[in-house]
Amino acid sequence: MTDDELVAQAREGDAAAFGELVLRHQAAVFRAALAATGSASDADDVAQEAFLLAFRRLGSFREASSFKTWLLSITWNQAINRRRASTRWWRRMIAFGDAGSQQVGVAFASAAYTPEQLAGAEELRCAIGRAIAVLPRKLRDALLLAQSGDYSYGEIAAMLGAPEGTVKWRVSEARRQVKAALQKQGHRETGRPG
Amino acid sequence: MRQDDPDSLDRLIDDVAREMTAARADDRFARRVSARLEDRIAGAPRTWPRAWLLAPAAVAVLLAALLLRDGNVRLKPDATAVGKPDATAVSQPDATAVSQPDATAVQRGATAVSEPGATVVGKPDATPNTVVAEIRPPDAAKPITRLATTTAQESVASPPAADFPVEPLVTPPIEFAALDVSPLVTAMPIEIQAIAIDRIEIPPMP
Repeated sequence: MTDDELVAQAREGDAAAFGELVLRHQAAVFRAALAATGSASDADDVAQEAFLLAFRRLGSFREASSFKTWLLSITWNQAINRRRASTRWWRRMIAFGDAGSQQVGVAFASAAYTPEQLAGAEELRCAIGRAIAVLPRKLRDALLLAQSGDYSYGEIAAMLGAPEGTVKWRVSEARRQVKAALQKQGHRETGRPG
Repeated sequence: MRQDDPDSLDRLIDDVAREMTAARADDRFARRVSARLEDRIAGAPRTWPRAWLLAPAAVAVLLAALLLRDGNVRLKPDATAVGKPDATAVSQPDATAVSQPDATAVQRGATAVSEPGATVVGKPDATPNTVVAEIRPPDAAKPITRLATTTAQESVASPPAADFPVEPLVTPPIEFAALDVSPLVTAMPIEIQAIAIDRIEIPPMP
């Protein structure tokens, strides 16, 4: 059954049909909320609110866009509202550097790297995480959404309310600024601070 | 892991960005959404619209009850319209116009006397006072509002109709010995010295 068919049933009050839509899109909705809020608990709240809001607004959904795109736009707006209200966001994103580096270390341990290389890679990834966290919001949002793997550029453009070309430029610019930040910190050649 | 490889570094940046949104909603997420959805379907949409409908209805009933109780609506709080029809209000001798500039006959402690055609008699030395009086003839449907300036010799006949007995309000006079008013500003003398100009030379026009 397609999304549009489920939407039509949900509009007639079929909660089970809407439940099926929740199952289909919960991962994409949750990750979009996480990209904006930086917290799994906040993302959970935002995702739930987004689904409830979508259910209430089903009457206003037009098939001009896909249900997923429409749902993601609602999610993003909810998440941005939450982010504006939260003053802890920056601390979470900065703290990612430490937590993320541990995961990175485990991932790299499986590859055939020397301990020195692993230490350097871990440090580098930690620095990348911090550089992403302090990017301008528009660039960071585009980069995180693009790399989550759940959305097409068209869907990201609809979420952010920007043309698709602009989103691509923002992703590219985000990478460039991260690299510039790494260079400024002395991460060159070997991947370790020089 | 060399950073001089741009593709490698781009991939690394993308990996780190992906990890930042790598968490997943837990398995009970869909159930929580469904539960909240059922709560909303069962509860909120039915009760809130009713509450919103009831609020204006309650206000309307309250207003209707007030209107029925009073029989009319009085918009001017300083208009004296309390008293029995054709009653006479007599000003208290010690009531002064300064302390009660817009007081009404009843508020001054006047006594309502049930004598048709009687008048309000002011204090002989009272200060002129502006009174907005609402005169309601017994046979008139609409009240007549008149702006009058009363003096000691003037009188205003007025007691309008009221459907229920109201005891007159008696305001005790405010007593004070004297008012000590000090000057607000002490002006310092301004001394202007003369400007000494010996001579003004004006060159002749060419």
